[in-house]
Amino acid sequence: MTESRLHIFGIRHHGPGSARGLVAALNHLKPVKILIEGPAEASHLIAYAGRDQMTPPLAILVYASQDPSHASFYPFAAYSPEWCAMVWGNENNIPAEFIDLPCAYRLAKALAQTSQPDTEISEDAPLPDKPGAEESPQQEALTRDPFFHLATLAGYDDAEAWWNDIIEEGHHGDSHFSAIENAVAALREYCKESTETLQREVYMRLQIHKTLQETDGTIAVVCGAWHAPALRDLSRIGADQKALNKLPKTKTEATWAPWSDRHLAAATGYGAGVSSPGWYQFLWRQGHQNQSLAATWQQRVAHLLRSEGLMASTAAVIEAARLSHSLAALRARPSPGLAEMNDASLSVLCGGVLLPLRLIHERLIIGASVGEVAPDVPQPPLQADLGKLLKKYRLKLETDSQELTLDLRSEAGIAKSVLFNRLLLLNIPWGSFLPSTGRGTFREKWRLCWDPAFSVRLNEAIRFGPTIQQAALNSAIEQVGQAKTVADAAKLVEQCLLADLTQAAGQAITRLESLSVQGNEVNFLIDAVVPLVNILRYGTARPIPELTLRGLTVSMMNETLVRLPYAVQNLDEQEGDAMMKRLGSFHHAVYLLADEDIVSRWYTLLKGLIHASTCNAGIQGLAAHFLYDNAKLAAEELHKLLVQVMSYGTPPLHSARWLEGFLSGSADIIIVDDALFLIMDEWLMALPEEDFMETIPLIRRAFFGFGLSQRHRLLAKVRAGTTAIHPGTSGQAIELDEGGKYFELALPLLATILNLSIGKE
Amino acid sequence: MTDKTLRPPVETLFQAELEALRQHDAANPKLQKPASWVLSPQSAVLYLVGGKTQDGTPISPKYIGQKRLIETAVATLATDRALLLLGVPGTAKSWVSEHIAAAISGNSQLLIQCTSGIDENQIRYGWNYAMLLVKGPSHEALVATPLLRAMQSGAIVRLEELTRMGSDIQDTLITILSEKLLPIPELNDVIYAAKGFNVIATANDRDKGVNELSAALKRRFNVVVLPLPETAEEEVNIVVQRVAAIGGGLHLPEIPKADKEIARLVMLFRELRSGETADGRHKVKSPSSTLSAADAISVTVGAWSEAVYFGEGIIDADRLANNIIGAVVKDPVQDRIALEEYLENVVKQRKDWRDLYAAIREML
Repeated sequence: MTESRLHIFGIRHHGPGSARGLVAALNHLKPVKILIEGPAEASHLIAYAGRDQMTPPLAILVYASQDPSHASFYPFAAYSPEWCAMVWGNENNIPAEFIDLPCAYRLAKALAQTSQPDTEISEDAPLPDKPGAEESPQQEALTRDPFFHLATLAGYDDAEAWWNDIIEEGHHGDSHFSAIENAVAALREYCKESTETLQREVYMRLQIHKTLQETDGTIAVVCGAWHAPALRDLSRIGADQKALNKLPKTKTEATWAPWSDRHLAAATGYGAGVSSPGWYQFLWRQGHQNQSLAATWQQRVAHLLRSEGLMASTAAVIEAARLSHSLAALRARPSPGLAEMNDASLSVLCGGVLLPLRLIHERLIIGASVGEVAPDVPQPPLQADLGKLLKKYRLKLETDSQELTLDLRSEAGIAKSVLFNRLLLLNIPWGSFLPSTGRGTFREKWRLCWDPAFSVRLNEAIRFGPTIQQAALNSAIEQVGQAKTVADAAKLVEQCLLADLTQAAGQAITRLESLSVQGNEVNFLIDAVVPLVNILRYGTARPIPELTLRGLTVSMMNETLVRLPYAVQNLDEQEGDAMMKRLGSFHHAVYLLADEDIVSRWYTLLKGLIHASTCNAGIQGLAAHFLYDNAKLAAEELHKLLVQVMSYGTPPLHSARWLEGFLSGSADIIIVDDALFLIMDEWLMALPEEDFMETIPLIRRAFFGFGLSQRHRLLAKVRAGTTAIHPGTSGQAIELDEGGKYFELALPLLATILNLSIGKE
Repeated sequence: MTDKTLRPPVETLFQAELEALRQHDAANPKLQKPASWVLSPQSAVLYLVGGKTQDGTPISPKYIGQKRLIETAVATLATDRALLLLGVPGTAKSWVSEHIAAAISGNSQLLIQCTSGIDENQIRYGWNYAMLLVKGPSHEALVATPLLRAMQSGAIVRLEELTRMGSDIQDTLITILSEKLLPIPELNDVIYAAKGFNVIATANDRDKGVNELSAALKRRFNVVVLPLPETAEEEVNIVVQRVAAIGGGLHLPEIPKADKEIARLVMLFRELRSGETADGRHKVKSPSSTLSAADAISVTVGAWSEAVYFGEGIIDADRLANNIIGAVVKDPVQDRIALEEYLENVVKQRKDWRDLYAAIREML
């Protein structure tokens, strides 16, 4: 039984061709009511479509009230037929309604599953046309893109090109809708539908039936072409009604959320199933039948290539456009499609090289636009709060990653930094902090990259509070309660201070105090104390509870100093390396904190280390380095130490490690410090030949980590000879002529030690 | 042209197919020919990639690979832009250019082989000095190059290995490609290209010591890069087909089909070329030789000829071994090491490759 008042338009989600056909059909039909495939509980959101400041791509976000982490997205682009139907309805004052099965059912099912342990529910929402799991691969392929099957039958290898072609050629009102419907009806006979699809169709039929009874006049139904044939049959309404009554439901909320081109693209999450959102957007704006389509597209390609520093002349744009048309003619297509555009760009603009084509794909074919939601759309409190903050600080949500430098001396700069840090505490890594290269204290660098899925996390965070500040505060307090190690707690102290959450920071400090008195490994202590010192030293751009923090830091440092001598014993090579890195930052921290007592204890400890026999050799070398560097180790002592460590009795590996630790991968210490250079020189010169030969591999190993330029400078320094440094030294000042000759003789060996290739100069 | 011709031009070899395609064009009013073209662009593509004409005449595939590349190439020539075919040696660049010229102009013989020794006279025009002395500078004394003849007759001229020719000589082409004319200052005359004139150049992007095209010249070409065959099946297909054609042309006595040996040979070449085994489990040292489909073809044809004249009339591991070594070992030291390593680590492990292992081992 087919109602003549009922007009079903089977569309392709996110199909610009479909959308164009649909708008034409709606203009022609002038229905009194529009029913759209979309979650029924979100019908009140239709009114916002097409208003000012509502910029697609947007998504309807439906989430379970009791647990907002269970959510579904329904994305729409400007060229989505559903969106066009909503806009058309609003513009023509025709009521529109969503008729798909409410999300409440699916979310209820998901909630029931999470209550069982070990069942992971992804927040990934099955999209309107996703196939059920129980289908065979073949059926699945057929169901996922039925148009592809039809396109293959028509001799195309690309459903999108086929679709565009038939839309272009058959632009006769809604006649192609019925043709597609017939084709789908035939296809559906070979496919097994998932229970979910069937349930959804039942619900849609019920809504159509209800509307038909309530309204006189024509009704337009806009749904995925796959459902079109199933929605016509309204004869079994009674049975349909019963089938639905048994299903569980949960309470849900719905809102508009910004979406992006990148997320519309099939490849990235949520599987919305469009491979080329940017191209569709272009087609939608330009119009399929626009004569200058190819020229405009190739011009955009050229513009992109130029912005990346590649050559792309206007003449080449003209040729690429001509080639696109000529290819379309050759392939018997009414106008150049994406395949023609790409082939032409490749051959003319990219000189046959595939690499730039990837860039074109990323930037133009997928696109980088992000939607915007008008401020008057009722939103979940956190979303609304974020919106307000974004407006206040003139920030935009972009899915392209971008770098932002903040000046913390300005109020806006610090406010932005606080916002990013608060979002981090809410597990929303929109901004990631980039460690700055310099030591500047008032500049911060952030990389920003929005993921629409963050909306879900934002809603999840509602349990912590209705504003971002409150939510971040409560989330931080909860995390503080869960912190198990000093490093965790110290990190939280830092995070809270950066996020300007004084109360949480206070709690984190208390937590840190209580954790630090319990037995702790030195590693954790050092990891914890270094960021604290950084805050004390550099965190002056923000208000901090300095006294408390300083007291805590000093006590933790003392704790570290007590435990350290035991922690550096009997370490293997890997542990030793890790410890050397830690000691490096600890040494720096001691220096920064500038607490006299700690500094002197630190040097005493280091002095003890250099003679402790069970201490890791690399660490001993490092200790000697620190001491010498701060003039706590006299030149004679160092000389003695060198001789001793490098002497015959020490195992070679031990000596090598020591030297490595001492030089710590940098030749600067030898290059800059003439006195040390002389000590090393003396030590080497005094070695008997046999010992010298044995020492060479160790030296080479220690020099291995140096940079190339450092090694070159070192060689230059050796070439200059000791005379250049100290004319009066004991006789190593060989006369230039002869010395030069000897040096030439030694050069190959030096080159080997320094791992340099030296040509004749 | 007589039966004695070693290798007749492709328009002679495939005369029947070209004729069938002409009929096909005549029967389809929708297929329109650009001026001076022998076939419509659609039919030219069909000629290259193979298929069937409307009346069911089978057209053999000349190029096995992505159809869209051939479409771009033909569409390029239809827009009067010059075509540059790029690719590593043995990716059928000259082969494709020859067939496209035959399909479009019905003549693939307007050819200039570009070498480093070539000068402008061989690109533009030369002089018949005897005539020059008798008549002075005149049209009679002018010696037309293939390029000039192509301009006059509205045909396609092929420039082989464009980058081997000196850069200054290459740039002679700029005026011809953009203005489609060739000035002859000696005669105070200009020769305008007739409709249908175009240039197909080939160049390989692997050779060292080539002369890069100037930006000015490069932008007058549409570039189509011909890749190495994507899959092993595709490559085997190419080799089998070409071997049969070449063997037929050489009138080599018929032998049993050697498709299995060819598949093995192609796999060996592909593995050596890509530097890893087909299953991706082992890394393999790549020799300096190209080892393209063209090399596999010549190895097989060599083995065929060896088999019929000196062997038992079948292509087997023994016949292939010698030719394989010849193709792989171009550098007597490095390539030999690469082959030996491959032999010991890969070939030896494969049970059904034992004969090949023994045969190559013996020859090395």
